[in-house]
Amino acid sequence: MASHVLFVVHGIGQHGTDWAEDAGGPIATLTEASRQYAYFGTTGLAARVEMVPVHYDEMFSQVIAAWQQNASAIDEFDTAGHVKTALGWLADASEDKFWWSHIADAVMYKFSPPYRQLVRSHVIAQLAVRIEQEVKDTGRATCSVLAHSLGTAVAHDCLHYLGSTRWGKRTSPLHPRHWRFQHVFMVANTSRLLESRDAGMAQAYTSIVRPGPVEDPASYCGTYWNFRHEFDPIAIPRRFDPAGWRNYTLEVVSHYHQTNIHGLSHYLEHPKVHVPILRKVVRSSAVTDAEFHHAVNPDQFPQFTVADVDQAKAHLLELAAQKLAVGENPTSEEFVRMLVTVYHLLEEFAS
Amino acid sequence: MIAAGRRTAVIVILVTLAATGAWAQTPDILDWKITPGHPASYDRVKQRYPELVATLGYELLFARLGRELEASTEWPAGDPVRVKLLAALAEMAGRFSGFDARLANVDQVEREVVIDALLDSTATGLFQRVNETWFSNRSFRITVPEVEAMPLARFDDFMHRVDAAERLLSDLRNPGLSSAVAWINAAAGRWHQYVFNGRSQYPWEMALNGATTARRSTIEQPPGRQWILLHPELGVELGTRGAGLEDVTAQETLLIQAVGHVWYRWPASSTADLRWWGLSLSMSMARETRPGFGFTFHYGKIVNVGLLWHDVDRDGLLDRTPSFHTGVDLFRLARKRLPDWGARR
Repeated sequence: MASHVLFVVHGIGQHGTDWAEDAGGPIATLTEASRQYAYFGTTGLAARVEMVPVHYDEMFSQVIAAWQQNASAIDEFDTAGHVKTALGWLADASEDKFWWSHIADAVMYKFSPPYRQLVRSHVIAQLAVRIEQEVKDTGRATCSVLAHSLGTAVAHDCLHYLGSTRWGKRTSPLHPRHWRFQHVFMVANTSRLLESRDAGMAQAYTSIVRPGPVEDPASYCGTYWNFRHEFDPIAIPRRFDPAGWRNYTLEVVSHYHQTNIHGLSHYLEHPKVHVPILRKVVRSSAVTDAEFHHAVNPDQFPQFTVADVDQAKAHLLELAAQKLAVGENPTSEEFVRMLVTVYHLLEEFAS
Repeated sequence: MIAAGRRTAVIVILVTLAATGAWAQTPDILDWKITPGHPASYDRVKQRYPELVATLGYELLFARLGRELEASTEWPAGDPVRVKLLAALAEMAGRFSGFDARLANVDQVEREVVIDALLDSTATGLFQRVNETWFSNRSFRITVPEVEAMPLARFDDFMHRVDAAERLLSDLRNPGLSSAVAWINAAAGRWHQYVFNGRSQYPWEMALNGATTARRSTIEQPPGRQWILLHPELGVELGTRGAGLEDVTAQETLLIQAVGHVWYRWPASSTADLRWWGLSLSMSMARETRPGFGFTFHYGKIVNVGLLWHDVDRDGLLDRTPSFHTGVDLFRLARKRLPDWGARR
């Protein structure tokens, strides 16, 4: 039985309940990456770590399905077109469409408190039920979180609520004075960009989602890892850069092995991302320093592995331009425009 | 002859060691397992101190665990890990000072209150191993490499002792954990009810309610009120050609709830049906009649009824006689319940 539970929280896009287990998904990528290190030749990653996909995309699917259903019924009846302009876009809503599958969930999370709370409560329940199960089965819960993109904001908010709320007006045994997560791994961190002022919520720098020693009421994990891609514009506006945190590490990567440089699996392929994760969720010695230096060597892990390097560089330049254009503090409208442009760029270069 | 016998004995010993794995065994925290019957194991501790465990006499219990470690022949007196573990056990004993006295002579309900108060004032996470370290940020901090560097038997003894301490503290927290998880599930159920079984909201209504009514909600409790704004829905306007039920006519209409408000009544159980009532100003747009203006009363998902006034004679004034309207769902229900009327419509 694996001794460490790693919750994996997805970002924007379509994700089923088993999203992380898909071919090319984070579990397969991390498992594949681990095989290059001797420790995992004898002990498979699955023997040490159980990766638990956390999902909330179905909340979003259900919300837009309900809108679509209501709007379609009216659309059919409204032959005179009284409300066609107002509802036509909702009647066409579907996760098969780019706007709905890639942009709308981030926009709704940012701007709709009821939707945010629906997602958060759903994710907190998944975390809490699993933690309780671990405690019942083994007497302890050794858990970490790996979150990506929108999922970093969701994970931040959920961990803060999980650890700081007096559930049922009683002291929670999941308060950081009694229990904490081991490690938090944030990939393309949007937790500052999407922070909110809902009741009981705290800002990304002042919440309990920060590293600290056991029983410290102001922190909720042992270490905090922040992974950013140099050319990924998503994590740039209001980027997460805390000062003076102990046991906090920022890793910046710049590889281009597929057009979707924002993808979680693309991040995980880089040894600077997967080695810290493997070392932390298994043991420090699982990847030796010599193995790590060998793995990050450009001969072993080149910046570009795509056939057309010139096109890849052109793509990175376009993304860099977006990064500069959106700036540190974009307005809501600028942020949404940037999301749309970035995803169009990813689609354009993928085709 | 004797030399040959010795060689054979050595080979037998080596083969035995290799076969049992003892040859290669070095302490590895990830491969450590509880040895049933180990004197320091959680089960044996509970067997030795059943009364202290049952009464949560943790001050005395942790003090005894410390004394047992001091008396253990497995550890040299000056062993730094032993010294640090003793310090941790002593600190834990100190935190529970007088706790058992507070629990004495209280019933089950009061017992929960006392434990809750203790958890509120006393941290119990000391024995959780985080980031390959026990007791981080303390002078008696112990690391995994330190422990794995010990002889196997001592390592095993240490692991049993910290495991027992951590499980005993879990036992204290477990009722509260079950309660917290139940509340968390209930909160998720309530938010699900609010979004999917409450009065439906279009995106602009969600935005409005997000900026107003939802501001007073919490992660545990969704809003108790909700605005309705420019909410289009299908309805049925009922007219009559005579006095009897058979004279009632029905016409599908597009109802727009211009502005309104809904009040929720949250049930105690998160699985019970969510109820609400509300009122809104309405406008109707049907294919065959002029626009109507009026109001709608909302009660739960099905009941949406109201009155509409039309300018039937096109004199620029609304008629004095209103028509009755209902939501499609209630109309369909009525047709199901009154099939004869439905057939004659």
